[in-house]
Amino acid sequence: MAILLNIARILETPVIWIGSRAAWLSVILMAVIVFDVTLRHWFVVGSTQLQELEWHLHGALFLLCLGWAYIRGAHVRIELLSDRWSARRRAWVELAGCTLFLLPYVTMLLIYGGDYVAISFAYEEASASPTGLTNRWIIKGVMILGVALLGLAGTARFLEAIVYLTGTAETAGKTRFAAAQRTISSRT
Amino acid sequence: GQQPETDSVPKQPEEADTPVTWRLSSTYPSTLLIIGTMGKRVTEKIHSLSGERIDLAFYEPGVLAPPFETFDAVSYGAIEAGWSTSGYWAGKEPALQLFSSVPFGPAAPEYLAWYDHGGGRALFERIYHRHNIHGIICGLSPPEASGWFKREITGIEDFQGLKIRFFGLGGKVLEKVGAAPQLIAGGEIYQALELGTIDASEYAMPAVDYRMGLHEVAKHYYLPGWHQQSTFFELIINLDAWNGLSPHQQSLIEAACSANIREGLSEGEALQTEAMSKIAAAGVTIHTWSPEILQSLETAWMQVADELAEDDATFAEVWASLQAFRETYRGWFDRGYLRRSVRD
Amino acid sequence: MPDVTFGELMPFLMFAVLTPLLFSGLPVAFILGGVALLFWAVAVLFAGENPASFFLVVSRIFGGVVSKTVLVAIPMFVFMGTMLEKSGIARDLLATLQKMTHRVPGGLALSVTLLGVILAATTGIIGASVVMMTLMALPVMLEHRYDGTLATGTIAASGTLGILLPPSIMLVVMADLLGISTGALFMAAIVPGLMLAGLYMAYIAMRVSMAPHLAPQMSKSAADDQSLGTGDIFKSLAPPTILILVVLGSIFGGIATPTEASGVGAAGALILAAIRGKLTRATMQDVVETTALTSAMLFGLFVGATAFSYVFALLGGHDSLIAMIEASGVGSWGILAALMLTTFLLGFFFDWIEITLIILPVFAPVIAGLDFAGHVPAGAPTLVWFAVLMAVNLQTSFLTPPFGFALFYMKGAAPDGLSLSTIYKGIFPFVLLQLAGLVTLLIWPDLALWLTRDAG
Ligand code: NA
Ligand code: NA
Repeated sequence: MAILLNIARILETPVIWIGSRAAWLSVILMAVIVFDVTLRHWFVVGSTQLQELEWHLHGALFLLCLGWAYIRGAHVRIELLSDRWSARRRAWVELAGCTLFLLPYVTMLLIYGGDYVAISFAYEEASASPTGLTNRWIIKGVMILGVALLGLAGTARFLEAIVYLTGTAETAGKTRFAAAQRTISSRT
Repeated sequence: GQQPETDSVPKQPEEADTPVTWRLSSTYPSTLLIIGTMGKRVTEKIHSLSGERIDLAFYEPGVLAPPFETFDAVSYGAIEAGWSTSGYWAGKEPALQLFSSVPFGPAAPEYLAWYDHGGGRALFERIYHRHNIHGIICGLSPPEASGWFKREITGIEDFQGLKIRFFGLGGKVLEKVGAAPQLIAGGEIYQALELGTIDASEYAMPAVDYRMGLHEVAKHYYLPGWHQQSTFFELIINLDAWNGLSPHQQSLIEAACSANIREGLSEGEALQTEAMSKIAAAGVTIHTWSPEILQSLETAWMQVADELAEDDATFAEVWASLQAFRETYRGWFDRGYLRRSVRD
Repeated sequence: MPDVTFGELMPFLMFAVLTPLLFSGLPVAFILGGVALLFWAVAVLFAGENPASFFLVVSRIFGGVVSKTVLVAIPMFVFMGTMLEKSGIARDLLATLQKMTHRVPGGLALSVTLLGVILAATTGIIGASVVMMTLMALPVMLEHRYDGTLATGTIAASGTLGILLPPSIMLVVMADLLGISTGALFMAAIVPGLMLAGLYMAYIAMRVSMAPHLAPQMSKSAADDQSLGTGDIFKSLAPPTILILVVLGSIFGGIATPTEASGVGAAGALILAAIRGKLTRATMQDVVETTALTSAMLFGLFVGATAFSYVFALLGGHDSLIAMIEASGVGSWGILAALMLTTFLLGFFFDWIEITLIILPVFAPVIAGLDFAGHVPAGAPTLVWFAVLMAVNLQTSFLTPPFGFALFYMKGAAPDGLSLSTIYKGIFPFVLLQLAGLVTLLIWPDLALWLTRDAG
């Protein structure tokens, strides 16, 4: 069981590493927007490429943080009923949710998304605007990377749920389910 | 000898065909005058001509595929068909832009002549087949306008620093003459123009432009649309799906498209006149580009075309084909048609 | 009722499966994607659906979410709101407003409503304004012992005004789909939008005067203790006022589009925080993390929702809905009523873009031809009036559970421990107010049309 928990932590490492760094893209995005506005209004320079760069940066920002947000518990949940459930029951539900919903959805996105990026790469796809950015496959690749990171976070959570439900008190106590349980107990 | 007696009536060709139910994703809303209505109409025409045995279910843009994703979706076979214009796929195949409209390019009759009899069609189909798509030119619209300007343009130097929303090859030309083409989201054009965030915006032909209401925020309207003298619209079909059709079904779709081209053109030509008077009545000054400005823009376009041809072999091939056709066609055009100046 | 086959029921079965699962406590984004995949798989296995069609889910995430330029405004407004909150600027502003209005019952809630109207004039992106107001105002309101339902209802309702008050992406899309002038529709939406804001404020004032404990007033002595010098007022009001002027000024001065103005606002908030000496490394880290996690939460929802609505359309949901409306509508008023009811009900599950795509292209010609016998003049104004009715109706879609995006945005940005049931209870009276506004507009079309008459 301790091994599963270790695997879960290893899977989470790149998710957290990339997510916490990608978060700073918001500052770069802000700088690019201000630069673009300044350039257009006061220096009147065409900026299709900057304007495209803006949504590229925004896309990378949220895509690369999808998995990290799962680890940090940022994704919205409706907890009207589940608040009253035992921690074990919630762990079971999370296990089922990862198995039936999250991981299959991520898997399908990766399968079809792989084709999607491959097409873009093979035909050297560029912006539909002749004055725009080239190498469209990069941002499309980031999309797939983001989904893959979400998949890693989901797998880690899946493993943690197994550890929590079947492990010894000691290993179970190290999972996020135990941590969440402590938060709820302290609240009530 | 005697023919064997038979009680079976010979089958109508359409009864021998397997019925087809396809999804068609449009890049334009069905309510958009000419550009969108042509797409909706051709699906209805195919449905009725086939005795309701070919059903291309028309989906509004975004319901299935976001507009710019239609190409990939048809190529991959996620949906069977799409309604669009080839200019949208510049990022996939720069050469396809030449099958949509060409700056300082041919008007409708010449464009069709090149496509049908000057080698255009073979090139078009070959490029699309590379992407597992069968493309059919299926609609044609009259010249577009050059768009809405907040200030008057008196010489080519007025383009210097002009913030203009412009899409496609024309944008590249404007960049050459010093303008700053902008990529403003469709939903923000009106306000950007109203508040002066941009100085000008191209949109479409007068009948469509009038409905957009841009005459409320920019009072100078420029014609002719040098960047778009006629526009081809296309029905794109997944190549495997197309090959699965019987020859009868294929020619039926082609015939429906031919009819659609005729109707798009006649409707398009007829609808502009009323729109022009409405635009004038709304207090807009309608300008005609001076020959000097057009000359400068055309020179810039020739540079752009050469650069694009240098970058992309397929573009070069199509461009050479079109140029060669136009060169020989000129001998007829110059003598066969009354010049405007003669009639004026 | 005509015979309904299982295939025709499939799209509606999606809701039946979705709704209980939403209450499982699993992330909503994952449930949406998972249910979409489940129904798609059933269709592939049993109804001959084309297996390649899932490709479009990826296409939709890229073409409909990642590459949408206007969505760039969301992280930027979230950044701006978070920066104002973490640097204490928002807190000082609201505290000052609280003191200035301490004689007015519910003064803070009324100030927040006004803040919603101001934000509405900068953007039409609901995610941005609801999240920003939640981050800035909700903690302060709760600290001042405001009732949770009143606080959340006020923020959610006034935060969604942005979709109605121009500039609004929704109005532009509707104008495009209906073939009417954007300018005319902008003008037509102003009075109804302000009317709703007025209704909210009247309700808040009335509610608080009847039940003062919902919005405790500062005791007289406390207010005197903290009596405000003009210097204090200036210090707390000036920075946010300047920021609002910069954002609005960059839009109306023709310097930036509303999308770009969000970036200008974010930069402005950063500079303000620096000037006030609050821009520490820890604050910056905090702001950047909150912005990233909140954006990931919002866009996670988009990524799930785009799959759900796609599969709904694949299964023929749109066609069934259109058939139902056509079957139920009798006469002009009948069709109008059917459309309004359908829009309202769809709003429980879909967002505005899906609903407008289902209804407007198909019914635009029908509506243009409807005759409201002297109630509104025939022709173009009917469409403008109809668009405004749709717009007010669609604003409720953000608020109605189980699937109100504004509610999720708020839950995602609210302090831990605020339950969704508080939010559900909070928005209930405001949804009723919206419906009251809708009926008012049905009865008096001139409320929407008189400004357009001057313009046209
Ligand atoms: Na707005
Ligand atoms: Na809703």
